Amino acid sequence: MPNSIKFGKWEAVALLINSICTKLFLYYVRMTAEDAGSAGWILTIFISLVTLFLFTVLIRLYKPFEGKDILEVAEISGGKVLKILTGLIIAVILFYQTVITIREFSEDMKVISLPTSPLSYVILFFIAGMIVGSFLGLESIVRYHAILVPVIAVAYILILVGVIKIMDTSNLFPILGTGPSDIFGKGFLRISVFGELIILILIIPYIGSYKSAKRIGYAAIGFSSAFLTLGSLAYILSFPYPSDLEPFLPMYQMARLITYGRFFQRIESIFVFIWATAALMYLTVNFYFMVYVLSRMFDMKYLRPLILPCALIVFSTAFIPQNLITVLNIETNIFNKIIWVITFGYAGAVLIFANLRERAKRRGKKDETEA
Amino acid sequence: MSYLRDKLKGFFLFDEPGKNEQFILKYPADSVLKDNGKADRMDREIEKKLAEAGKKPDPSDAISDDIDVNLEYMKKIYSVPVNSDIVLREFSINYRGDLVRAFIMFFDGMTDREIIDNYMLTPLMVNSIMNLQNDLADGLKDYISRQLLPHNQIKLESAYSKVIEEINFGGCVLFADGLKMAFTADVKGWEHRGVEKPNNEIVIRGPQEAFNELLRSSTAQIRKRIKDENLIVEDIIVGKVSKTPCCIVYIKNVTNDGLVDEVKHRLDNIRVDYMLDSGILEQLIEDSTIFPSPQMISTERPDYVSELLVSGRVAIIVNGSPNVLVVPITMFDLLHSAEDLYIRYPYVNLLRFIRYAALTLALLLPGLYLAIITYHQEMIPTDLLLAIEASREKVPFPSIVEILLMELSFELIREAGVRVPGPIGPTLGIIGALILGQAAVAANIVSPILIIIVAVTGIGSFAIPNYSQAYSIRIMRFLFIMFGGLAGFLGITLGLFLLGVWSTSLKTFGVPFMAPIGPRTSMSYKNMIFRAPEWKREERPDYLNAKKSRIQAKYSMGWKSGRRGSK
Repeated sequence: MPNSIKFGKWEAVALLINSICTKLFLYYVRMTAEDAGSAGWILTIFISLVTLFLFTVLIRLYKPFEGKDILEVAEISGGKVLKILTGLIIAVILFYQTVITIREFSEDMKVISLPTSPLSYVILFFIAGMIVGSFLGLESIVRYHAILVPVIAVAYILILVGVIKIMDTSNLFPILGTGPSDIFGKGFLRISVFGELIILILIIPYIGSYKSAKRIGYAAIGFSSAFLTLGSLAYILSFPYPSDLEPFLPMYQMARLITYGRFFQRIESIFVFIWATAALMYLTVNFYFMVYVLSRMFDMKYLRPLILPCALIVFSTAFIPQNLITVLNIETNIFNKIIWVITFGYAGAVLIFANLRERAKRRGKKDETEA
Repeated sequence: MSYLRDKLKGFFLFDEPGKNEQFILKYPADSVLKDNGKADRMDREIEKKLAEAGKKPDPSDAISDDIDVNLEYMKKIYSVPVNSDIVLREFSINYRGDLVRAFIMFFDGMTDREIIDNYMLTPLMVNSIMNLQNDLADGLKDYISRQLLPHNQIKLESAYSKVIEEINFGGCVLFADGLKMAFTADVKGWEHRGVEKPNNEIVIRGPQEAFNELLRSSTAQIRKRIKDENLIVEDIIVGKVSKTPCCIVYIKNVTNDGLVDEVKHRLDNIRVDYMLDSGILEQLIEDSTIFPSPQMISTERPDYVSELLVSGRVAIIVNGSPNVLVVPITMFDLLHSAEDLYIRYPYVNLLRFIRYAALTLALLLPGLYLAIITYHQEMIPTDLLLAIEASREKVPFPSIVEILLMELSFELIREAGVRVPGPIGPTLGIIGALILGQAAVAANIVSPILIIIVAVTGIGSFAIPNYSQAYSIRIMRFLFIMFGGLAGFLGITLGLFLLGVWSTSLKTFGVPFMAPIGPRTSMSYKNMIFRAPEWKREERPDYLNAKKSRIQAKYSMGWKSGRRGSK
C-alpha cells in the first residue's frame, strides 16, 4: 500500500521545509531572542550545524534499510512490540504538535482578524482543511506543497525586504547576546526545532532510494536553516532586545511595520494568507502522518476510517490549554526542548538496534554456510 | 437529494472501495409496456399476417428470398406507416421478360433524392425493360449490380442487421424477390453546414476555419493540416441505439500507446443507448464528474486540434458535433488560446499574464472585497475607507447581501443575454446597464464601489479563453464569497487550500491536472505557464510521455548558422 505512490525530491523537500519553518510565523524568532538575546541568529546557525551532523549520523545508520520507514525498521529490530511502541511514540508526538499548533494558530487568528468569533469556530476552519487534505491523500498534499512553498518563501522574503528600512545594526550587539553558554550549551536543546525531520523517516518508502532520502534531508535542512536564520536576524535587527520578547506573533509584528508610501500602510492582513496557508499545510501533514502511523501500527488496510474520529479528538483536545500563554509555554519550554530526544535519540537507538540485529543475522547466515 | 444524502453518508461512514451501491431505475412492468401505442398494434398485426401465411423471418438474421417476408419484416422494424420519414417504394424489375417484385427503403432527409431517382429507380424501372443482357452467370443479382445500378458505392448484404445499419446511416436499400440478399447504396445527402468561420473561438491572427457536424469533413480538416501518414483516424461506434460514429485521432509515432488504449477503453465501455454530441461524450469519459473545471479541451478549431495532436495528445471527434475533444490536458491548457501560437511570444506572454490576472479577479475579487469590508478594514487606506463608507452609508443591506444581489443580477443578465433573440439583445444591455449601473445605486440598494467590483469580475471571467472553465469560475466565485463572508481571509485561504488539494489530487487520463507545477515535471516544454520564443519550443510536454520528446531541432533556425544555399 505505501509504495503505490512515489513523489519527487522537490515535493519531499517542500513538505519538510514547510513542516520545519512554519514555527517562524508563530514563535521561533521570539524564542531564539529569549534564549540568546541578540545572538538568536547565531543560535540558529549553531543548531542547524548540529542538526546537520546528527542527520548525517542518522541517515548513515539508515543505509542498510533502503526503502523502509522507521516502523518497518523498528519491526526488524524489536518485532511487532517495538513497531507498535515506536508508532505510538511518533503518533503521540504528532498529535501533540497538531493540537498545540492548531490552538496557537486559532488564538492568533482570533486576535488578528476574528475577535468576535468563538475560538471553536476558528478551530473548525483548520480542522476542515485537515480532514479534507487527509481524505485526498498524501499525493495531493505533497503536490500542493510543491506549488505553494515557493510562493510562501517569496512572500516571506518580501516581508524581510520590506522591513529593511527599519533595521538597525546596533540591535545586533552584544554580538554574543546572553553569552556563549546560552548559545552553545542550553541552545543545544533547540535542535528540537528540526524535530519535524521525523516525517522524512516516515516518507522514505515514497521517495525510493537511500541517496534521494539523503539529498532530500540535506536540502530540507539547508533551506530551513537559511529561512530560520534570515528570520531570526531580521527580527533582531528590527526590534531592540526588550521588544524582541513580546509574546504575540513576532513575524506579524514585523509585517505591521511595512509601509510603502502613504497609500500602502497596513498590508499585514495579506500576511494572514501566507501564514494561514502554511498553517493549513503544516496541520494537514502532521495530522495525516498521525493517522497514517496509527493505521500502520495496527496493520490497517485503510486509514480513512480513522480520519474523522482523530479529527474529533484533536478538536476536543485543543481546548484543554487555558490560554495562548499556556500554549506558548508548552510549545517553547517543554516541547521544543525534548522533541529532539525522539527524532534523533529514539530513532537513532532503533536504527542502531536494527543494524546490530541485521549484522547478527548476516553473521549467523555466514556461519551456517561455512558449517 | 438522495445523491447528497449518499455523499454525506459516505463522508461519515466508511465504505470499502469498490462496494458502492448503485441507484437502479426499476424496469416498468410488462403489462405497462404492452398495448401501448399504434406502433405496437401494427407490429402485432404484421406478425399475425406473417403467421397466417406461414412465413416467418429467419431467426438467424439472414435475409429471406421471399419478398413478402422481407417487406413485412422491414415494415415492422421501421414501424411503417407510423414512422413518417421512412420511404418504402415498391416496384417491378423486368428480368428476362418477367416482372420481378422489388422495393427500396430509405430515410427521407438523410438521403439524396436525385441520386435515388436518377441512378437507382430510373435504371431499375425503365432501363430494365430494355433487357440488355440477361444471361449473366449469377442471374438477377449480377444483372442488377452490373447493369442496372450505375451508382459508385453498392454493397451486397445478407443480414438484416447490416441492412438496417445502412438505412440508419443514410443509405438506400433494395430488396428483390428471389434474392437472399439486399443491395445497399451509399446515397447520404443530409443537410449540413459547410466549413465556416469559428463562432466562439475567434482569433485575429490565424486560420478562420471551424469544424462542422460532418465526421469526414472534420477528419479531412485535420489531415489537411497534418500531412503525415502516421496520423491515425480510428473509427468507433458509441451508443447502443444511436450508434453514433466517432473517431479517435492521434499520431502513431508520437502519442503514447497507453494513452490511446485508455481513450479506446473508455469509449468502448460506454453503455448508453444514445450519445448525440461531444458534450455528452465529455461527461461520460471524464475522470471526475464532480470537479468544477473541465478535464478536456473542447474546441471548434481544427488548427488548435492539430497543434494539440502534434504535442502528443488524442482527439475525439463525434459525428454530428462541431466540437472536438482533446485529452489529456492540464489546468494551464485551459488558459491557452488557439491564437497563442500565431503571435509573437512577448505579446502572448502579456496576454497570458492578463489571463492569469483575469482568472484571479473573476474567482476572488468579490470574496476578497467582502472579506476586507467585513473583517480587515484596517488594511484599507484611510482615504479609501472613508470613500467606501460614504458610498455605503445609505445602503440598508449587509455587504454579503449586497454582493450576492449584484452577482445574481449579473448572472441573470448574462444568462438572458445568451438566450435572448438577436434583435432584442441591445435592449437587454440597456436594461441591464440602467438597472445595475444607475437605478440600483440611485435607489441606495447597492453601493457604487460594488458596481465596479462586479463589473471587473464580469470582465475578468470573459477574458478566460475556455468557455467551460469560465463556467466553473462562476460557480466557485460564489463559494469564495461564502468563505470570505464566513471568516474573511482565513475563509478564503481555506477555500484556496481545499481547491488546491482537490486540484492536485486530480488526474485527467493519467496526467496530473496541476502539472507541470504540482507535481513538478520537466519545464523543457516552453509553452505551459508562459511561452518561450518559437525557436526555443523544442520539446513536447514531459507529462505526456510522448514517444518522441523532441518537436524541433536544437537549432531550428538553421539559416542563422549555415551559409546561403547550404543545408
